[in-house]
Amino acid sequence: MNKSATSAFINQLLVYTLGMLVFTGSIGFGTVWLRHEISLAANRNKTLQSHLDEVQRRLDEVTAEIAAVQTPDALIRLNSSLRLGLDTPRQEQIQYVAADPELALAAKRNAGVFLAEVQPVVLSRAGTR
Amino acid sequence: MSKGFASNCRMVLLATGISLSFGGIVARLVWLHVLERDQLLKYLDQARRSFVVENARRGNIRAARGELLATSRTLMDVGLDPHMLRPEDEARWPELARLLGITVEDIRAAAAHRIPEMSDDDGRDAKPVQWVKLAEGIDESVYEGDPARQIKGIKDLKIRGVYGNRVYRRFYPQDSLAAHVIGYVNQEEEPAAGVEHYMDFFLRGRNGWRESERDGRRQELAQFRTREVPSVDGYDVVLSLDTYVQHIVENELHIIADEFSPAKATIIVSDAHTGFLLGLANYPTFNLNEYNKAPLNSLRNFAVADVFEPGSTFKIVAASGALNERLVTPGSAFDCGLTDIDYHNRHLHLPREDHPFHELTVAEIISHSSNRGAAQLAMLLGDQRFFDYVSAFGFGQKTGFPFGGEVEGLLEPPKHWDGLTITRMPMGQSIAATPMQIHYAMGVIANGGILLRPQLFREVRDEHNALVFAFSELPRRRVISEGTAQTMARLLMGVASSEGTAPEAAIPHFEVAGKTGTSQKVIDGKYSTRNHVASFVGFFPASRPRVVISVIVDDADAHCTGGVAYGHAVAAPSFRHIAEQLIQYLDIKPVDPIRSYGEIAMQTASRR
Repeated sequence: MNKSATSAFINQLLVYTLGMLVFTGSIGFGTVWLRHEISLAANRNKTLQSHLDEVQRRLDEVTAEIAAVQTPDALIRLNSSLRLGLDTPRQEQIQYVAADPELALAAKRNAGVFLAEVQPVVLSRAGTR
Repeated sequence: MSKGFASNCRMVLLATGISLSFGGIVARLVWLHVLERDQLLKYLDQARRSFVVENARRGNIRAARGELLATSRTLMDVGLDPHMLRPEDEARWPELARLLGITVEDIRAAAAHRIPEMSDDDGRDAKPVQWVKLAEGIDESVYEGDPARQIKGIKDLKIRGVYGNRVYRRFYPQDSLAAHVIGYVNQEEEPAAGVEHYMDFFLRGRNGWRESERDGRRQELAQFRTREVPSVDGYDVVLSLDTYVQHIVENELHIIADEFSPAKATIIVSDAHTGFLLGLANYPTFNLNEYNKAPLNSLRNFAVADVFEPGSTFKIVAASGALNERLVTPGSAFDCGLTDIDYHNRHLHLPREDHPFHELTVAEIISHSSNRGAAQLAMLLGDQRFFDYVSAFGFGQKTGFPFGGEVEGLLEPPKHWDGLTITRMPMGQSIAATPMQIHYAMGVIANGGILLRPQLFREVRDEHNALVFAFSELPRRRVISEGTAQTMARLLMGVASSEGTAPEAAIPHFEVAGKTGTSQKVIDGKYSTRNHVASFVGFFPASRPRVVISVIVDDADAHCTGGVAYGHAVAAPSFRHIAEQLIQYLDIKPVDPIRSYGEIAMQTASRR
């Protein structure tokens, strides 16, 4: 048996094994890092979602409170206690906006953007001074 | 050639060591993933698997103009764990009590409640109390505080052991407004009555869910979410009711209740052309947010669930039928002084009149509300034809009001009539009807001869306010011709005139058309002279009707002069109050004064 050939083979084997360990290790660490990032992103999303839910709940609460103080009874009482002397409104004077007012205002503001008349492009001859 | 750094022996040892290590890892993996797999998975499932239901938000119920009538909101049930409390936190108990609206003594009592009351003598199964409720239905802003406005909440007090559980509750911002229509959702989150129950399919939404895992602190590990189905919020249901009209109606019921203390009362207001209900209220009523404290009797929707003899309001049927069949004209005269009459070879006794009459025209029969005149009009039609008109006007059948336990009323076919029925039914006896049936029967005249179905729903909209479904008017059938309806409208104007039975209902220049009713109640099998149902059912302006209004008051006799609750005294003034407010709110324009048939007939009589 050729000893030096065996040692060289084992040396090579060790180097390859170490290389493989480093390679698989880096893949492993990479995977762990990736999964950590995924979990961080997922938890951030969860936090944001729960924050959105909380805001939505607050909005619902405020909407309900506004509705409770806008009942005809409450408004008439207020009119009387503040001595405003306001007359009861007519049906067509009352308009409730159920849709998102921001979207409605944005749509109103941007309505003209696409309807604006297109200005013709005038090309002048280059190089003349 | 270099020998290398390792001897053969060392290399073999190293290789063996590495192989054994890998072999050990492989063996452990086989053990965990193959042999013990089922048991470990079961344990993992129990310990880490999390199945979270995401509740859909229940849709809102809105009035015609968009006002919220019912909505969902989160509230907190706040309690404490007696074993977690620290003595150093006691200084903050008064502030906690203030925020919860309870006393410090209540907190002290809850804190002392450490062991449950024993159900058995030895108390072997007794576990320590982990949560004692302090208050329920606390606003989330009170619990969480509001950092933007620097308002501190219960959470900010940082009292260890005090925490709240979030619960979803239905909230009715208008309290008792339209209570019998809206209905309610009970403590088990089940819709129990009204629109809440009937439109539950649209309102409910669809719950979502997600499968996930949780850590040792039972916090969800969001990265391990495997499957997720998002929730779909419920749709908003828009009713035809107008909150201001409803307020007018309920306010009027309060006035009636204060003045007459009736057993019950109902007011219905609808659009004359479409049949859409604008207001519907009953007395007694209840607060939707405290439905569980309301007496059972106040939960009934009398407008559809109770019947009574309609009395003189029913005379519109015989008169409309006779006019529609061209058997009479408004000027045709009848001897209303007769006490007996021959009919189909039978000698019949005619009903009693409140006032003695002699010869009356059809217009006067209506305006003076003659019982004998109405009986003679029905006799002209005959049993079967009169019955057909009664049925065509919607009596003896459900109107189609979608909930509230609607009943059909009582209407017997002619083969079951006794000899007197043809003389009694035209004046509103021998028949029982719901207020809703009477209201829509009057609606036939108001809208040109067509019987409409009560329509309560306008639209269904999604959470982005996009239209999902729109409801329209629902005509049931033509009952009388348009011409007959117009003639009847003119005749009914005579009722609310100085010569009619209800001048109290008149509004100058607004052509009020209507009919009074004062029906005796049957008590112990006999018509009572001390218990009546007073009603006024009408519409205006007669030449171009806008609204139909019914006011029906049951058993208001005790507080009426003479001990009898007449329709003109109890119901007609309320009709006028409501109509006057609707004129302003709905911007109903006056019409040029035109003479009613009653006035024409009176003028003719005076010339004679």
